[in-house]
Amino acid sequence: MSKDRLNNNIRRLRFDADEMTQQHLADKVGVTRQTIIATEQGRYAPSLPLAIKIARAFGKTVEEVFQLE
Amino acid sequence: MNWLKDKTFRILFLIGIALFLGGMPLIFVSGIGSRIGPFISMTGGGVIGIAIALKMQSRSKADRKPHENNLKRKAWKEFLSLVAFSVFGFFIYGFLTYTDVKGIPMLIGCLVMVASMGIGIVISIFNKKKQPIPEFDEREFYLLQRAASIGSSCFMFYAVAAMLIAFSLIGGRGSVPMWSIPAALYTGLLFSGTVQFLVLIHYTKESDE
Repeated sequence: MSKDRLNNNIRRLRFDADEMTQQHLADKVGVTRQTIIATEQGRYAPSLPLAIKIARAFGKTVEEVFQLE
Repeated sequence: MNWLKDKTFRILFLIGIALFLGGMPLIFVSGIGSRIGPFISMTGGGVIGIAIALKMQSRSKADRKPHENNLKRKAWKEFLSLVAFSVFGFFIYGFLTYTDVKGIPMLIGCLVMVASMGIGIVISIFNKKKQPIPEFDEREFYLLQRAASIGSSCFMFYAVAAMLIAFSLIGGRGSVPMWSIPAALYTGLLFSGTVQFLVLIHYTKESDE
């Protein structure tokens, strides 16, 4: 079992993107708001396709949004 | 828990629960109302089943909130279906035990019921494949799988524990009444379904925070 933790800047990026709501981001990437909440809080590690979609929603690369600690 | 606020449903449900639980002890107390107990419980079971079925039917899709938690809705829907199914099962088997129906007509009836259930499952599988938009996202799907896995582990644990306890208490050459087999199965299904429901509700509460 890996103990690596996946951190992210979703919250900050949302606020930088005209205070984008969690629901708006969820609609953009095709998941529920609860999934965005869990991802933002680091309780859920998204799949690679979802991570790419989230990064694309902010116009960033995956590494700029997610960091492995 | 808005569904419990409906007065008619609440009264019907409480009457059913009272009858079901009230009749239960009488079933297991030999000599005291050996026929009244099952009859009261069966009636209670029927009332609960009818109340839940009516309530579920009355909930239209239009009642759903736009951003309602899908997982929570599924958990409640499945749990209520399971309770209705179990109570109805107890009711049917209780009734059949009470009337002591047996033989080829009974076997044919059971086979028809199992075959119709099989057809229903096959139809639901094909219908799900045709759905253009997935109902759940990847995290919800993962949580559903996890809850199902915990639920089936609980069922296996229950089956092994129930078998060991029965074997130890009654012995390898003892005998049990036939009604105890479906009763044990439904209890196991209800137990694993309840665990699955509680796990899902826990996850949904966590994801709403």
